[in-house]
Amino acid sequence: MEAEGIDFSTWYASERDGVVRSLLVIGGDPDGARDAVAEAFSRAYERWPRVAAMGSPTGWVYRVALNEIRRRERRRRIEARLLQRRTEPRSAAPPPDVDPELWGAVAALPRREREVVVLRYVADLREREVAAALGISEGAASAALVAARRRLARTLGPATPPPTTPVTREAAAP
Amino acid sequence: MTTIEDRLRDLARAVTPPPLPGANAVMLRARQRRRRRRGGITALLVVAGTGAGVASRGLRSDDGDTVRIAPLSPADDGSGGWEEVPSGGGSGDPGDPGAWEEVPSDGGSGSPGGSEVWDEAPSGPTGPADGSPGQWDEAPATTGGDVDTVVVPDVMGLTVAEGRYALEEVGFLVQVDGNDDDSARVVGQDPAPGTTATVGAVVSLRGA
Repeated sequence: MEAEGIDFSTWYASERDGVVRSLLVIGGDPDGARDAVAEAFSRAYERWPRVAAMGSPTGWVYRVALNEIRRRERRRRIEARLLQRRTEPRSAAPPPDVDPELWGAVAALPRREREVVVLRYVADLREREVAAALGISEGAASAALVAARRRLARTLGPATPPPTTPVTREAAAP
Repeated sequence: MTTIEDRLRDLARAVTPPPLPGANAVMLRARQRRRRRRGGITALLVVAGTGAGVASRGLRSDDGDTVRIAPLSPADDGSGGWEEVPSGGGSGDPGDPGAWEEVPSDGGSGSPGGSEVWDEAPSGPTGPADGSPGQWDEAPATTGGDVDTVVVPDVMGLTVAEGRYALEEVGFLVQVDGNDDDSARVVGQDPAPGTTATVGAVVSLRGA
């Protein structure tokens, strides 16, 4: 969303739900998503004039928040190793009202593909913004998007069957 | 027929966003970080260099406050970042005296969860410290008093994970070329160590 000329609070109020929702779908952890997103927005506020003038301030926030999530996951892995504890990479339970099969299929995607597909369809960013938010080229973003769609189609079937037809689920292996 | 794309878009409608703090709380957090950074950068880099992943530890900042560094607290409950309590909170800041008592009043579209205030109540100021006036307004370790410009730390020779951590701590975005394993060594960095760059800029590391 274009943010130049609007104040931080207004922009935050309009963008935060979308950002935190997408981060939840990517990371699977509501608390982690919440904290990473709050952190990212607070960094945006720290340098608001600069961020507001960007082509996609929201893309910038996604990028910072995704880095933050990765950093926390890394730290958690290190801590778990030090404490000889196992960590669940991603909480298994889908939120209520979410199709568990779809949630599971998205969760099973490789990280990059999951990020791309969620930013494109859940966050509704344009491909160019997706690439910018991930710090990758547009070509790489497109390729990951194609791969993700193909993998989801294999897992979920090309289209939702009518309720009476049982879903045939192929092995998720690539 | 419902396409994969449609189903994914439906996710956006189905997933209830976890409630976020109000705008005021987010702004307060930014101010706290700025203050914390002022005293904590050197210590953070040292900690980053050791790769320690232990629970939160207190660091002495230069004005004598004990500052809890949020990122080192276990993040698995997700609340670690909200627990920073400056022991001399607000004592030296005439312009922002009631920060801790303030309930963030958010004018935004309420989240369905309804929780607009911090659910972890900060334990509040423990008493006045030596308060230097205007400390909230001071720039962190920057050059020329411009908050948006920071010296690029030297992360050459550290592991990629450590380098990334150190750079992100001071506000850079990190891109790793070459070997991007956490345990790879940083053999190149651009912009070069010791130069200044704007906060939020991308620092490229080369891993090997």
